[in-house]
Amino acid sequence: MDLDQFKQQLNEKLSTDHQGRSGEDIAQMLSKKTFSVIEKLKKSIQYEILFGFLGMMLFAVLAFSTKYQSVRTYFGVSAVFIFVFLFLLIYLLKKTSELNKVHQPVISNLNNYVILIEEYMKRYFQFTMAMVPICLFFAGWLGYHEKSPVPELDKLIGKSHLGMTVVLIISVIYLISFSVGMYYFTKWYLHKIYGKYVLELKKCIKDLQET
Amino acid sequence: MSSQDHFVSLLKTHQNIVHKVCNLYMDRHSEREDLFQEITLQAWKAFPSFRGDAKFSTWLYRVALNTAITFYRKEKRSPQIFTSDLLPESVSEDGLDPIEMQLKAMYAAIGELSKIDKAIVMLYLEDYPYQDIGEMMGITANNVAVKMNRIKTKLKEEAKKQLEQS
Repeated sequence: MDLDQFKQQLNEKLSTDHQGRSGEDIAQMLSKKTFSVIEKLKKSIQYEILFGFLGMMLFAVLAFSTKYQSVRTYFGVSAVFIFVFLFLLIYLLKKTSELNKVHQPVISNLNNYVILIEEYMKRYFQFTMAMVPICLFFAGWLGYHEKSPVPELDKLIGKSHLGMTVVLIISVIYLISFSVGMYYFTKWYLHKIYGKYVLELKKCIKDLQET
Repeated sequence: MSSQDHFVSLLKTHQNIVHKVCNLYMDRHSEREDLFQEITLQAWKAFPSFRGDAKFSTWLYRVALNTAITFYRKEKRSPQIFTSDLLPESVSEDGLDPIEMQLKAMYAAIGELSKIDKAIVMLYLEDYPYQDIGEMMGITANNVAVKMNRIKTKLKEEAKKQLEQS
């Protein structure tokens, strides 16, 4: 028993085992949503642009409304940083849209998918990891150099009856735990969303290249 | 005729290609519906790239296979089980006919193949020459021939196993 023996029957059954769609049904489908991973990436980038923009506006308002110099510098610099990052996201969105070419040979399409998703994962990870120390040390440095006292912070330290050394130790432990936590969380999150899928695509590429 | 009308008319005529890909790659009705919609949308988006220098059927095969192979689903996939609704009606209804039993076993064996092997088998069943299959997959005709031999052996063994189990 081999494939050629049933070639005709299999081919016929596969192509006829369905309910035919009318022209109206097909036309209706054209306005529906797509599930492709490229669309998923595009949607993620669009959300990041939206939230980035809202974050930038909020930071700008905070920078202009606060009376503390350190808070003003922190949020002002962050708003500028996000503004620059928004351009990068828009560029990435444009590049992602251009890559949606499903009419290419299968291997080229698979390679494009893998390159794009891995690049996105890499940049996302790098950006998150870079932001953690920058934000934490920048905030610490500005707080340390703040000339006018922050009553809320002084009250908090006063209420807790802890000495300055203990507060510093707690802060350092918090910073380290937060950084380590962010590292593993980002890795886990990216793997959960794209990791398994990329492995599946790589297996297809390996299958194709196998001689 | 507008571009959309032209596309709808072409897809309507060649829809059996899309159904074929859906039947081969998805085992449940709802999944096949989702994939059909996805292929339709991807083909529509890529339609401006169709210049008419190749056959529409060949172009559509390429789009459909690329979409099926990279199809992304949010929900967790359950293991692929070939249920009776997947099988040709005449086969599932009458399991005593030895020829139909063999056809059923071969059908199930194809379902066990990898995504890439399924694509190659589909184009082979459609009688595309190895050269064309190679161009669609992005590999050489020799590589297609080697793969096809391997797939045939695999299918023979798997179909035999399926028959013994039933």
